[in-house]
Order: sequence, then C-alpha cells, then structure tokens
Amino acid sequence: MKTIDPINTTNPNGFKNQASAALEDTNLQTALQRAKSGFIEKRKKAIHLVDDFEHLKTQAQQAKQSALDNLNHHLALFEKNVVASGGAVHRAKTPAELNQIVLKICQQQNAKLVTKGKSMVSEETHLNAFLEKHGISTAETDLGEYIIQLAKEKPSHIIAPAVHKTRQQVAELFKHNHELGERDLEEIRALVDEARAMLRKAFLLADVGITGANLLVADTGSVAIVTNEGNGDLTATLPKTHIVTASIEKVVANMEDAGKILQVLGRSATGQAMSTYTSFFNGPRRTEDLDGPSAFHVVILDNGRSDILNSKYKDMMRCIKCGACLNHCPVYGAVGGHAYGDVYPGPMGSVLTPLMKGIEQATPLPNASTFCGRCEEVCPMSIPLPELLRQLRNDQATKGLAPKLQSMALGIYGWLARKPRLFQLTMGMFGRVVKLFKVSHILPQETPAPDAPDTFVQQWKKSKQGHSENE
Amino acid sequence: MNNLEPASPQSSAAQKPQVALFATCLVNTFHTKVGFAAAALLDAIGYSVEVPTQQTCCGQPNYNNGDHNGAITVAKHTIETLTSYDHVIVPSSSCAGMIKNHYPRLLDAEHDWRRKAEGLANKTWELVDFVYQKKRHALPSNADFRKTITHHDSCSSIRETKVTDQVRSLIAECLPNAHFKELSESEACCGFGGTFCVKFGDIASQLATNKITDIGNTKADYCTSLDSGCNAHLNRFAESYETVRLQHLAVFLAEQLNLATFESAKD
Repeated sequence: MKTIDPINTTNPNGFKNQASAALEDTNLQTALQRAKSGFIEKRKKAIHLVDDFEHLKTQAQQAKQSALDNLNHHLALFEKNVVASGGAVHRAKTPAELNQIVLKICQQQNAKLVTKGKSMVSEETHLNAFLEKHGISTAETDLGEYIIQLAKEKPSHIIAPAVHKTRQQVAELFKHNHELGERDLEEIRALVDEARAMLRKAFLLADVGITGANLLVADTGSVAIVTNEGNGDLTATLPKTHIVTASIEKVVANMEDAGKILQVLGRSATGQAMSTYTSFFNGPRRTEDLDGPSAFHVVILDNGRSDILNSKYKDMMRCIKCGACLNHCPVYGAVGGHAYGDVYPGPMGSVLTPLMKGIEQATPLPNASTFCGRCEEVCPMSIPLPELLRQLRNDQATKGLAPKLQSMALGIYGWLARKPRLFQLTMGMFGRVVKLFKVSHILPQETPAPDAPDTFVQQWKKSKQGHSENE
Repeated sequence: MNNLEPASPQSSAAQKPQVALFATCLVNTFHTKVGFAAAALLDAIGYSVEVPTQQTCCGQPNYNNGDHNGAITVAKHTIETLTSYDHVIVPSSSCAGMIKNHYPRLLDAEHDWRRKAEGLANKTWELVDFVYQKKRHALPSNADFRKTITHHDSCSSIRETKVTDQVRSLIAECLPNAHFKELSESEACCGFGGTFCVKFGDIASQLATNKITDIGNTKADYCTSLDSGCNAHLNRFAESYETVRLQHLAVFLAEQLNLATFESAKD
C-alpha cells in the first residue's frame, strides 16, 4: 500500500503522482468516502430548511463585495477601532513578515508555550515551524489540527484538517503519543475526551493564544471566530496575550454584513445554521472584565491578495473558506487534499495556489478539474471557479507553460476545425484507425461496423444521395 | 453556401419547419448512430433535418485547454455555418452549452461577433430539450416497454443546459410502463471532463468506476445519457456492467419507439 508523505515530498507540480499515490491509499480512500457523503448531505438539508438560500447568498455576496470594493477604507477603520478598544493592528505584506511580528510579540511576553486555534493564514506562513525554531512550543487546540500536529502532517482540508484520517488511525496515533497505558479508544467519544484532557493542560499553561479570524468587523473593531469545539474561545481568553492572524479580505463593514456572511458560512461548510460557537473578540480585557487577555494583537497578512484583487482573478477574494467546493469536487473527493501539495486544496486551492505561489509553481492544479461546475454551484459567494481555472489554463498557454505536444495538437485541431472537408477526411481516418486498432474505450457499446468507417456527416451525405437516386 | 440548399429527399419537406443538426465531433467521428437517432427524433416530431456539411467542432478542446484564440476562430466558423437556420439542434449538453453559454463570453471583445454569438445562442437547443419543449406529444409511445431505466445526468446537462426533469418526463410519456430508477449520486461527475480523462487517467478511471458501481446498483436494463463524451468514457468499463446497456437517450428512444432512421438508407 502506498501512502503520501505530506510533509516534505509533496508540491503542487507533483500533483499527478501525488494523486496516483492517493488513489492507492486505502485508509485515505475510506476516510474520504465517509466524509464526502456526510458533508454533501448535511449541506443539502441545511439549505432545504431555509426559505430562500439564493437570497441569503445574494445578501452575503453584496456584503462581501462592498467591503472588497473599498478594502483600504474598511481596513483602516478596523484598525482605528481595534486601537480604540486597546488592541494593536499589524500589517504583514509577506508570510515572513507575519512570522516576525508574531515572534516579536511572543518574545516580549517571554512565551514558552503558545496555544493555537485553527488558522489557515498561519498554515500559509508555516508559523508553527517558525516559532518552534525559535524555541517556542506550539499546541494546536482544534481537534483536527491537534491530530495532524501529532502525526506531523499538514491539513488536508480547510475546515476539517484531519479528514483524511480514519478513526482507527487516530486511535493508533493517540496510543502512540499519549502515555496512558491500555485503554479502549474504539468510540469517537473516547478519542475526543482524551484529546480534551491532553489539551486542558496546554490551555492553562499557555503564555500566548493565537487564533485565526473568520471576519474582521470594521466599524466595531471586532474579530469573529466560528468553531464547533470552543477551543477558539479558550485559546483567545485564557492566555495573557491573544494574537489574531488574519488576511486582508476578511474585513466587512459592520455587524449586519458579518451576520449576512455567517448565515451562509455555516450552512455551506458543515450544514449548520450556525456553528456551535460564534465569538466576537474586541480588544484586551477592560478593567471591569472578569477575564480575557491583557494584550490583543491582530496581524493582517496580504501575501499577494492585493495583486489578486487588482487582477482578472479578483472574484477569488470573495472566498470565505467554507470548504463547500472541496466537499463537492469529484477530484478532491477522489484524491484528498494532500495531493494538491500546498495549503489550499480543491477548486479554491487550484485557483489560489498558482496565484499566490506563481503560475509556474502549480501548473497541474488548474488542469485538475473536469469542469463539472459543481464547485461554482455550491459556492455561497458564487465564485466562477471553473472560469477562473480556465483563465489560468489560458495564462499557462500564453506563457508557454502548457505541454508542447498539447499546444501543437490544439493548434492543428483548431486549424482543421475551420477546414470542413479536410476535417471530415481527417476525422474519418482517425475514426478508422481507432476502430481498426479497437481502442475500445472510445467506442460506443453499439460499436459501428468496420465497414462503415465514415463520419456522420459523410454517412449522412451518402444516405441523402441514396435517397435522391432512388427517387 | 451549398449546405443551405434544401437537400431533403421527402417532397413534403418544403412544408416542414427546418432545423440544423450540429452533430458534435464525438458523434461525427465515433457515435454516428446518435446523429441518425437524433435526426429520427426530429423527423418524428415533424421537422425537416438539415446536416450542414461545413460543421466541424464547437471548439471546446481549444477553449478548455487554454487556447482561447483557437477557440475563437472555431467559434466564428461554427457561427457562420449555423447562423442562417431557425433552430440549431445539438445532441450533447456539453456542446450545446458551449454554444449557448460560452460563445457570447468568448467573443465579448468583438461587438459584431458577440451579437452574432448571442443570436446563435438563442436558437441553439440541446436535442432532448427541443423535442420535449416543442412537440413531445408528436412522439409515439410504447406501452410494451416494461424494463428498468436509469439516467446519467451529465454535468453539462445539469448546469449548462439544465435538461434533467425533461428527460424523466419524456421517458415517462413515451414509455409509460418503464420503471425509472434514479442513481444514488446523480449529481456526481463521471470523470470524463474532455481532455481531463487523458491528462489524469487514473482519477478519471476512479470516478468512472464510482459511476459504474452506482449504475450497476440500480439493476437497470438501460442507462441513458445526453452526452456521448460521458458514454465513451464510461464504456471503458463496459465489461463490468454487462447487464446494463449504456445508450445516448436519442438512440434509446429511436430504438424503443421504432422510429425510422435514415441510417439504413444507403443499403
């Protein structure tokens, strides 16, 4: 049985081989099959319960788009309001800048241990590895993230990081890493309880808590986080310092707009009208507060997003990272997230990765789509993912990154398709060769007799002539 | 253009409204029977079928593989070939969707061409949609057919042409005693994806296997679809579902309704 080593060996340009290995990985296939049907069914049910989901989508899209149209204004307003409530906002152009800013804050606190809520931005910057290198331990507190941290892997899904693992694999992992003697870990409940007990120590010991952000609310300076485990809240409120790692496109104008986006986020992601916890964090604790951190920092990453916003790919910035496109993608469903070789997998990742890393760094990804269109259909932000992938294929061809043979074949085919007589002759011959050599997979079940090798247009012409002669 | 000359053998053809049949490259080259069955369906509901000889391909191979300029020239050729007809009928949701939804977008930068593309888009129909919307009652029915049918909704018939309910209704009306059984994952892609199945053969095979399993589980005698691309792709696994016949819906209906096809005319 082959398995993928998702840590060091995968990269976006290795997609084809990584995908082949994934198809052979029986544990992965079991896990993917189970997860896929669950996500799809839950979303479907949640949407049926709403009178008019299309209306909610339109509202959410307008909220998001109006924030993006005036992004700098909203980011400035957000910063002003965070500062007004006693917090600080830092802007990072690159992943390296974000890591430096976070490290500096941690070092000022003499931090030894950092607890972390789920943050895809911190995955983008490889923050954990960076902090560990500087002697600061990190403890992921989202159950899925905790599992993959133990396994020394990367998330394979943007909202369900350990979705590629079976329950049995998780049980083995826990038995290997937690020195707790013989115990029964058959039930999911037992796994959750054990993880919770292990994490409790980290929550109480941590000097700094780092969370992501689902939304940044400009006119209140609030950071919204949705979770189902409550780990985000413990990460944010127990340590003395709370650092939020976010990206620029997370900002919305106000609470009303935040509400519009939250209404489609949970339903699209996990089929929940609302996630179990939806928390808004506003600055450090005030004198009258009973708890909360004494320092509150928001680090906002760009990492190429401003450029994307100014390009023909700007629609991609409406993405609210719900994961619906992953859950409904036939290719993601077949090979899982690690095959994509970077932080963001599936259709959204196949657009984002080449845009953020460079188009030549991820040439297979835009091609890894059947253009079935289901991603666009389920996207609550109506991002035209197939069209963006098609654009990327066009950019590849324009930059000479498409395979030479493909470009040549397309050139010939495109030329032939404007020469009807030659087209019929060539296709007739091509068909004849295929039929002769029985390239069976192209043929219909009702295989045409070898004595009728003409194209349909040629046959039709002959049959018409036959009719005319008979008359 | 000689292809516009009425060449129909029937003397009554002059009174019948005329439609152009755009066969698509897959039907033209490999699944020629689908072309004849499509013509038979159109003939049965009272249309005179013209097959413009200048037709080639809708341009999707170029369009979907980054060659937009190539696709634009193929699209222009197709527009010129088909523009003079009142209706253009395509026995494929994928290619019909290309003409209806993507030509106008592809030619957006050239005003006159965009207008022509929109004109063609508005009169282009997926075959089964046309038959159903225009004159389904003119089709004969066959009450003796009592077998089980399932249908593979191609992604393009779900999202590009939106021809899904029409299929069920047409089958129910033409074969009132047929037993129709839905696939459990009717919205899942079969993995064809045009050149996708060439570029990523093993992923495409996996998706086809999933689809075949789903089809097999219905225990249906026939599985129909509107796209020869899906059929060609799924046929790679023909051995694994020998009890099910996978057919283009046009071929299936032409056979079960005993429609006369022009195919035998050359004999």
